[in-house]
Amino acid sequence: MAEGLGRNAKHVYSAYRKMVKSYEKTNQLMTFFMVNAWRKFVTHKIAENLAKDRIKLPRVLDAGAGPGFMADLLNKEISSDIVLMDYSIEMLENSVIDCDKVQGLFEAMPFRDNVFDATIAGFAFHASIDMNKSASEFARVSKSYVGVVSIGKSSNKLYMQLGKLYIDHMIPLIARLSAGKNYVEFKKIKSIYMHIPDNARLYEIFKKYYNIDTFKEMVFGTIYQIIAKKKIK
Amino acid sequence: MRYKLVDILACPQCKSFPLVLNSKKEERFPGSSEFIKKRHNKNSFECSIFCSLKNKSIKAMKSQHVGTEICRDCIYINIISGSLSCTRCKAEYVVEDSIPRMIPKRFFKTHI
Repeated sequence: MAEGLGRNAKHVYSAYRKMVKSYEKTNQLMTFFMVNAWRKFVTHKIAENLAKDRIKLPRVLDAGAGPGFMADLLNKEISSDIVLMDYSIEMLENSVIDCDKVQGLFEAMPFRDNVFDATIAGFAFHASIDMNKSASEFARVSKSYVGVVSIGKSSNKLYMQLGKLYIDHMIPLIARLSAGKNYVEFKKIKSIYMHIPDNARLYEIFKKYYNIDTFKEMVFGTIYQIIAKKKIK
Repeated sequence: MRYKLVDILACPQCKSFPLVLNSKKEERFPGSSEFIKKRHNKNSFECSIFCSLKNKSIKAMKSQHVGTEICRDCIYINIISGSLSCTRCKAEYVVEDSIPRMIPKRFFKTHI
């Protein structure tokens, strides 16, 4: 069986489409205003690597971009040619950055091989239908770097339960405050948490294609960050 | 979408490249946009393999001594609607509201 949302994607994706307006506000509240700092850590590391390689106007894919918050942060650090990709047209139409946009899926990326200098994904990889296929597509389209920050699940049983408690009880409460009647859509995050493999397994999935430079877990493993460089075959 | 996007897009199903663009409605971008400003100092071809506006490979354009300034034409054009088709697997993807919709049909049936 594929590791990821599989056919459950159908109801999670429909939820994301309805969250567009309250998405960022709820993200901020759910993470106690840490979401941008976590994104920034990743974009800063990717910008540093791209600067080291001295690529003029590097081409970067923001995969699962939503309105493009990760891309916007990266663009403030290094001028880059950004492409936003998301399955949600509603999210792309509300983008915060002037760049190319494409509706697409991680598992079937609509790009030729090795076309991006880097690929970034902010709070999106957890919504993969098939994580193995997604990671291989990330590696296929990018020449070198990948930076991911996403919802994770600790391999430690106690931390895993704490994460589940937070997602079951706190998220609906916070979403009720920020998203109003749309709060029910945020409850579907539970489905994501149930279907993602634990962080140790995620590390293994990425290790198949990348040399991992940083793998950091935060907040009892419910958030992880990966900075990695593609393996040369 | 801009013409230059065709230089990086491939069929999500069979990965064939390049796709054939059929542009139906276009408009002109304002020259003041952030996207265009970034390119003012770029002294190279916008695309690396295929120019969809001229329907020519970049290699052919370079051998014909076409200057990079001609290449700048495409970044001012916004394709609002049209389609992209794959010559290998015959899949067709629409461009609507300037966004190419590149999800294979099989996913719509089962996952989306």
